[in-house]
Amino acid sequence: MGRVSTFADPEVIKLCETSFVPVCTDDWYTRRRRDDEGEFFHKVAVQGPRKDRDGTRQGIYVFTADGELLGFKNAGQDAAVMKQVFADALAKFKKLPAARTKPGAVTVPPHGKLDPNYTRQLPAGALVLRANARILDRKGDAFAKGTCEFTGGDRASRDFVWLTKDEVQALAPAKVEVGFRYPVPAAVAERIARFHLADNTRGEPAFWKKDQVRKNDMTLTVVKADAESVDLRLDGAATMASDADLAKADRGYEVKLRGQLRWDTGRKTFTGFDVAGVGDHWGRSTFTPGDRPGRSLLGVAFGLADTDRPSERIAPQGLRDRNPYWGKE
Amino acid sequence: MRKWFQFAGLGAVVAVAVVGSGFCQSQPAPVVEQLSAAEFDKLLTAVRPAAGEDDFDKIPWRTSIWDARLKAAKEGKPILLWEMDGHPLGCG
Repeated sequence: MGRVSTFADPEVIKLCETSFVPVCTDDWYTRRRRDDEGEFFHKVAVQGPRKDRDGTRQGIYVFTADGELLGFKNAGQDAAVMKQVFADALAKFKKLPAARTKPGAVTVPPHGKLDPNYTRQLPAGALVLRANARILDRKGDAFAKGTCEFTGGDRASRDFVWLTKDEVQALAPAKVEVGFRYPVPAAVAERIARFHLADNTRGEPAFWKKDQVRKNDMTLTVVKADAESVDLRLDGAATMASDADLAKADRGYEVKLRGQLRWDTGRKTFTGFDVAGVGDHWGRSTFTPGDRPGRSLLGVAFGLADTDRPSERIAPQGLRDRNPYWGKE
Repeated sequence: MRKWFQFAGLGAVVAVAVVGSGFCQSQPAPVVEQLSAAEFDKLLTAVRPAAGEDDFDKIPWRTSIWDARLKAAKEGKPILLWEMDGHPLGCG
């Protein structure tokens, strides 16, 4: 809700740019971290109502660089309320001694060893794709934003795909010959199907188990090539369902995919990676109630992320459980 | 943005260099029912966030509280943390 209310409000955006240092983290990791960042957050959180270290610590916090809590609200669904929280927190900050608030007053030591269990670092040389999904309706031969009763359920969802350097190299064509067709490496196709062809438009979805991927064919075809680059078309069809008999499956997605990729032969990486898909989705998972009745269209789109932005280097949601995401189980 | 990519006139170019590892590429690739190029373009537009839809992403978010501390200390500003179970900038 914060995305469409508080943090979409022009005054709040301006405040974040001028008066605060804005930061976002996933509480699933942060509250569990046993390292400098986790301990610091614990020290801040217990000054407010979120005192239970094992319970949720979701919320919007304002605090000083040395760890004094100045404001807290559990959610940002009302921009007017949040603007007052922010104004009050800024007023408190201004009343603190300059010896604690002036630039350079606080010394922050280097972070010690990161908690390896509850931090996720982008692997060196990895490729990051932005992944969006959206409910759709057909309007003639066009696709339109779908309608649903769930607030915000018509918005494009957001996640990221991580591919390792080796996986990226394995996606490149072995033969640069127009018409050469080859399968997307199984590890990549499986990751996309299990973790990125899911309905996350109403929140955190249950990802597909390995045996719930009923069909997964993805191929790449060389369509153009020159000395600098190779253009590829991706074609795909995947079916994920909670039961092998789709008529009995209470949740499923039958999707067709198409993509346009460009492989830079000099840099040995992809400089274009646009993929789109659409198909029938049905059902819900524990944290995604409010699904549309029966089968309805769900679209997906992938594209290269801008990894210079910290916000596009956040870990895929599916990477909380590392082994399945990396194909190790 | 995708003007570089042309589906038309594909038959003319044949290159000889071999790139990539070739991993698994000796396996036959299945024939997949295709989405049309026209559907592809419409889908990308329909699914991706429209202009103004993701204004929260205009905010210069950091994703590490420690990094935010360093910047806040240097600039003499308080930190604003948006903390959710499921990353506020991902997770759906």
